[in-house]
Amino acid sequence: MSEMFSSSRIKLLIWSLSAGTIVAFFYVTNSLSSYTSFNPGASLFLISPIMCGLILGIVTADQEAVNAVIGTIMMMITATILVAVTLLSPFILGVVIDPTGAVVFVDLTKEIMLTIITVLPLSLLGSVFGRMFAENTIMASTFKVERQVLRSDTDEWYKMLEEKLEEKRAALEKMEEERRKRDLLNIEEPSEFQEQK
Amino acid sequence: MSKTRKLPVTDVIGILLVIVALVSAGGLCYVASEYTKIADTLVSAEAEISSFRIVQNNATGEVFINVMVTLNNPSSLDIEIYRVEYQTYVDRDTSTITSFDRYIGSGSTNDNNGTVQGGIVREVPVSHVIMSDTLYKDRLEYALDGDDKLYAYTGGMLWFRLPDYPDVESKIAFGFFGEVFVRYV
Repeated sequence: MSEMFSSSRIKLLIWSLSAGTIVAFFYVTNSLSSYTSFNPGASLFLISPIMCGLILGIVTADQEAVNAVIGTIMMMITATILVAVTLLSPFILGVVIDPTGAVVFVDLTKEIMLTIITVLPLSLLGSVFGRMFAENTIMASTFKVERQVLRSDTDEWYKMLEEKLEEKRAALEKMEEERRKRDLLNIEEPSEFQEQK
Repeated sequence: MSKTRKLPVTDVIGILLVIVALVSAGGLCYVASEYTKIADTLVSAEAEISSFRIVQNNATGEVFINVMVTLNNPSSLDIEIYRVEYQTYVDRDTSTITSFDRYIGSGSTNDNNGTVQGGIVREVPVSHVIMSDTLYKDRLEYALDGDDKLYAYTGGMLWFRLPDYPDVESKIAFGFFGEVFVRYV
């Protein structure tokens, strides 16, 4: 339970939700550009998932690579939910009684599909670049050295383990051979004993 | 030791991400409220014909069809009417009134219809004239059938835009059907 709610996982969750909110904002302002006095421009519609993915990749650089992927998936889910909620706001707030009435103004299905299709690959691409960037620049050189030492230590440990296993295997084979020889001698012994009797 | 050096950098970036996300969440709320306000205006605006009159000038034989279209705007946003258009059909009875050979003309008005402020009802007068000795006058005479009473159907559209959001345009349909008495002047 405590591992499930570890600080790194909570951080990942908060950062993913934050990135998803930012992406949803740019998507919604782009799709509702006629309905708002604020329009940041259509290009941000594609840039925002890459940028948010990049930042997510940077902030999750100290975690496992799979966390970056989980983060981008959570970011996509958050963005999709927020886009849907905003576009359905007239229905949610009770202004439009029929949910299809809200869809008249903006094609809801198209917007949701567009969010899913574009956010996931673009944010994933951004997170890969962000991770690469963080590993090459942001992460401290001492950490890199430490990681290198750890890697070489692990390799050495594996070599030692292999050697130990080899030794153990050889010892076992030797023991097996000795046992077989002893068994042969034991089989012959009773027949001699019977003859003597 | 190295971990304590590395973590603050990612944490600072993460905190900045959260701050930007909070601003974006505020922006989302703003966009949602604006969108809801516009949706409310588009859905709640109603148009109807408040008066329909047919007046014939005995001296010239011209017939004036005067239609008063009323727009009710209960929302908080202003509405700018930029076109009103209608078509009129007349007949002796109601059976074939919408067929094209009962059509007697259409009236329209374009600009200068003014802005209807939020919570205000406004009337837009639209009219057209039927000249004497025309096909439309003959149809009107046929519908009158010797008396001063006929059945009339008028259907039309009112196009409007929101002055605060110039890209947002919509239209409302209106109609009228009933017995009409022609006035002679």
